[in-house]
Amino acid sequence: MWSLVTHQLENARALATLDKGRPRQASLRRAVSTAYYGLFQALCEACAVKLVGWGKPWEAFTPIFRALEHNRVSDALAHRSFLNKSELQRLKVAFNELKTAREWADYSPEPRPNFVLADRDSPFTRGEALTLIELAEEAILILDRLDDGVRLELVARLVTKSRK
Amino acid sequence: MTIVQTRRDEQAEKAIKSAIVGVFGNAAIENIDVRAGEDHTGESALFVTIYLRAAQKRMSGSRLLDAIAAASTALREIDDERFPYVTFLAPEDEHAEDTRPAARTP
Repeated sequence: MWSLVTHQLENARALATLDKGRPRQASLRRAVSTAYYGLFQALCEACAVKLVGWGKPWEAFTPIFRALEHNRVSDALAHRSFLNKSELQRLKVAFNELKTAREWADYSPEPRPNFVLADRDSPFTRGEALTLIELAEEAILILDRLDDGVRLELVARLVTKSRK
Repeated sequence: MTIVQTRRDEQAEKAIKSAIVGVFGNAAIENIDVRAGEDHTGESALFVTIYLRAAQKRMSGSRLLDAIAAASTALREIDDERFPYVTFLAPEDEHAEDTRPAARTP
């Protein structure tokens, strides 16, 4: 795992466990957002490393690293050619869950994503934040373990626009 | 139209509940709430809240992934393309503070 990604996850955990007693929403929201970005940057790095390589000039590396867009990653992971690849299906659902959680964390004034107006008054919980951080870590490990052929197919889909 | 939508939601709820119980077993779960709605992109989605019976340290990320993957597969098997967003709640969870200022009368 790339050290920047490892440190994003460490920072996310530090934020989620920062407050003693009742956690602040700001801490949990930043934790969730940081975990999502850990996963997103892992995907960016996977593309740049596979298609260019760390040893190449930034002029070649950075444009590929920056080629990914959040919604297009979801579309790429949902490509029909990945339907029978269970590890990519798991990566897809983890990414979608985290992307939506991050969207809430960064932009919504409302309580949790999927908030249920139930008897338990819960804007969000520390446990949910820590679980989402672990989900990001799990997704990054799936990405790290992909075999070369699947990885190449994935990064090609991630950096290109699909013709529907 | 409404009836068709309701039936579709009912089928989805049944499929999701069965898939989640298949992963975790009945003993661990107090209740599963499934609601149809839209996600932040405006896409139709299903929001699944799993109420756990017992307090626990926390649900692991891999178990959350198992739950979403199982629910997602169950939906695909009934030709329902909606994404299931899954949340776990357990007794004694540490709830975040509410950031809304107290309501003031004019």
